Amino acid sequence: MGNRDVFECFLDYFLIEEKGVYMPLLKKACAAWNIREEELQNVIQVRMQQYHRTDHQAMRKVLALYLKEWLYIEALKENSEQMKIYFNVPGAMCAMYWIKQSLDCNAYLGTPDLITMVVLYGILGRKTKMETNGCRHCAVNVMRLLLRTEQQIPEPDIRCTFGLVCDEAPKQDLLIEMTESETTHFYIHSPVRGRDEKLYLERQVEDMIKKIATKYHVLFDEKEYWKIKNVRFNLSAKIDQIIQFISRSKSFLLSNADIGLLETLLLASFQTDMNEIVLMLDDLYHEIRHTSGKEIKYKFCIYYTPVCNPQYGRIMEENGIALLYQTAFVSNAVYTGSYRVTEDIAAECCGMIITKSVYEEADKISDVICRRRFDGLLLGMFTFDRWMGAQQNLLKTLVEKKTGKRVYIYETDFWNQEIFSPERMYAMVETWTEMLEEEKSETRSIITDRKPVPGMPAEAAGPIYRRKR
Amino acid sequence: MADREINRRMLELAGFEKDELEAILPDWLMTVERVGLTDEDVRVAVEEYIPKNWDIKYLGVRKMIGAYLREMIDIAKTKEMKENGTKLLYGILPAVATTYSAYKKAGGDDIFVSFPDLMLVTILNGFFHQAAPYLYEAEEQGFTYGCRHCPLNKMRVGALTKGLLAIPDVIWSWGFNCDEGPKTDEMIQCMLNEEWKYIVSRIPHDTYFGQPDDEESRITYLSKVLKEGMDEINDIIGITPSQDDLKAAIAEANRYTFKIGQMVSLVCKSDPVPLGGNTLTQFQQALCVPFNKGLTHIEEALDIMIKELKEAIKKGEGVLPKGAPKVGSYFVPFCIPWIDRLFRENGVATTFSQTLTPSKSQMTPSKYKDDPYMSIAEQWLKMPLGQNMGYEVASMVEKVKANKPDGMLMGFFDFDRWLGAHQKMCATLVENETGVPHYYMESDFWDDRDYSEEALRTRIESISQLLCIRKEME
Repeated sequence: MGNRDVFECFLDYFLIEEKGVYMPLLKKACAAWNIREEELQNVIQVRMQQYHRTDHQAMRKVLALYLKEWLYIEALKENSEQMKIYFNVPGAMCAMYWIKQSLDCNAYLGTPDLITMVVLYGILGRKTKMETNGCRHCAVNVMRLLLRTEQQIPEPDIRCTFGLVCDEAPKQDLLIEMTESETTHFYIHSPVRGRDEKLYLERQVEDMIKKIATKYHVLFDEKEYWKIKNVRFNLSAKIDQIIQFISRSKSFLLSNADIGLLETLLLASFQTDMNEIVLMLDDLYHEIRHTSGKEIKYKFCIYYTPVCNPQYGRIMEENGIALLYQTAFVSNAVYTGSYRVTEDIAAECCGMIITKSVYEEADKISDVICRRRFDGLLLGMFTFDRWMGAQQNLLKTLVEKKTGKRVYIYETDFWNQEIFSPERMYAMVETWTEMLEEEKSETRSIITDRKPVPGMPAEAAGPIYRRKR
Repeated sequence: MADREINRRMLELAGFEKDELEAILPDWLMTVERVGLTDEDVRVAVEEYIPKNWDIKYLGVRKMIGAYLREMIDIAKTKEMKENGTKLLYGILPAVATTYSAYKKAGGDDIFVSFPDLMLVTILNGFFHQAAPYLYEAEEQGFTYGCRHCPLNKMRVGALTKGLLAIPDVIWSWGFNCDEGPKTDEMIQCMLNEEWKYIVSRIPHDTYFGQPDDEESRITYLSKVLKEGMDEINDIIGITPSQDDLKAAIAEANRYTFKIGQMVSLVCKSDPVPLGGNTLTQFQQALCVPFNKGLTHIEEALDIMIKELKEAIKKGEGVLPKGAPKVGSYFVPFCIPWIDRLFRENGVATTFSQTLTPSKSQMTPSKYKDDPYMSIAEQWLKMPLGQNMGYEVASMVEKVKANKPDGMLMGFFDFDRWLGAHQKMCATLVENETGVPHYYMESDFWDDRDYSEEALRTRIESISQLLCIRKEME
């Protein structure tokens, strides 16, 4: 690094070229979050090599995407004229982009809570724990509240709150509403399940669109929505192409943390144009085709790789476990071509598999494990969550029964490292891999005829083998 | 076999006498065995726990305990009831009891209605301090301790898997506050392979801060939700409450609400305070929790209680000397009754609960007398628990001004993602509006495994000292 400015080196490392714009923002962000220069130095000298494949230029650009999005929040504070739209995740992404585009192409559309969590904890490695006061609130919700109460983000013009999984976020945002007297708030969540769910959500979306159109005197062009939908589809297809390629490879072409960040591109919104992100991923795809890495021994699905704690993915990698498919992103929403826009938005909202019953979720996950021939599934990163926490044991039982594959639970917190111990996790994962190794060697030596179980796909039955005497 | 003598004493304490006691004793002995209460548990309850923590000098209090014990006896019999063809209709908190009362009126002994999880936690922890085995059981089933799930949801799972509770014909799973209850029922259904039928009814919670939740359009929407829920239940159990049943249930609830309002007013406006907040709140619970025996026994206890209170007030008798400071609460933790006692030991009387004390609006006659569904929906949307915080705070301010406490005690729901943060903010808002100091205590309303008397004593002592000093300065 020599005598060069740390901030400059930091931006160079992530191939961020617009230094005139981002340098002052980086300095302000570091001051606002009390981030020291040594910490930045550690990120580029140690942390990135530890947890990410930054030897791929395109991966650095993906990381930069998150960083730039985070830095942009500093610019927002000074730009009172720019329209600001915030929303929480999981939300109706296409709808949110459509609203932004219809209102003002230059409006800020963002998920600052998610981005701040990913950057502060995942990329920069902040040590301070989030205080959840014993209640174990979802830390991304706590962050959303803190951002406002600590004046880290300005008051938005519009805040859309989605409660598509549980209703903790809408409840919290009702509290945030107290600090945002000028903001127009919308709450999209379904109090019904089953046949009326889509209709109910559609009505809520219609109402939101109508109110925005009236208040801001804008027209919503349905063609624009379908264009956005198309680009989102390209983004999702490109991510899937990369992950499928890695799944067929025998080595870690990207780190587990990298894969988690790629999937998160579908969850967050960015100021960077979506087409540009697709091109960036295309570059990444071509780059990883010509590289190799440490050997992958086991290929697992995971509920969602903890993107705020890259140690998790790293420990798995050290034990040869690749976390390739994030089941939290599975959706049942299928575009039929005959939907109205609002109907399509509602279908996207209620099609997410994580909003369904544990039975439906287990069916879908089992299908993925069998089709893509994964060695098993990892759960446990949402034990704090009252919606997902309690059902993970049941999900484990159901998936194991349907697939015959291993489902492991390691209890940790996706967002917050209040209870994370790398040593403990390492010991646990070592034990799993020993068990997997033993099973593999048994399977190799004594495979016998398979007898498919009625109602179960043949490949799901797995090898039936005799135990060694 | 449970010891007859100690259990007879338990029933005597609970206001049972002579023939009635002899008649119920065999059922009670069966109940303690099924629930898992040992003779020693009952002895501790009779000789120490209840006398120390409840104002049993009043017959009304003892009869109230008796009304609850009758409900536990019925819960312990649910398996036989089911075998004999009685339809089992469960529900969860928060709710209004009116629809269940209507089913009871329509079905009589052919139907059993209860919120068994709530009843069990209330009775087992409130009177015996013995809910823990069921909560541990639920934790074994996946409701991990670290997640701090609501103990009521845990109790529902624990009582089922421990074999105490029968699988109902249907459970009306209200997600009128948060959605953790319905999610728990979904999970139980998955565990049991579809046998656990549940119907979810929810409200949208999309009003803005301070916007009235009981606007006509919302009442209309909710009335349709209620009707839809009831239609589904009717199909499942084959019992359909008539309009008259519904109207009778509403009238009964209105009558009980009025009496509760009268009791709260008597207690809060008297000096010395004649009754503790535990009992006051325990009586109020019947507004939102159905009793399988109907209001017969609990209302009888309430009538006696009001009469006894008037006598005590006339004689100038109180739970503490005249002039002692009194606190109101968000919700007096009656499942952990020693908290009330700790305040009293420090010279402070607990009184009303914000959540269950009826507001003026709740006591106003319904605008929809001819449409029971609208009337029940209106009842619901006037309940503070389901309202947005701004609107709830307005009714909280009204109750603080009416009951004039020296301080307010918030907390005991820090585990609850819906109420935890909510209460902290309410505390600030109501304090700013009324000038009455609000104190916050972090602990669990239903389950005290996480803290002890000694752990809370220091906090309660300091709050009490502050209140006493303020009172003296006045």
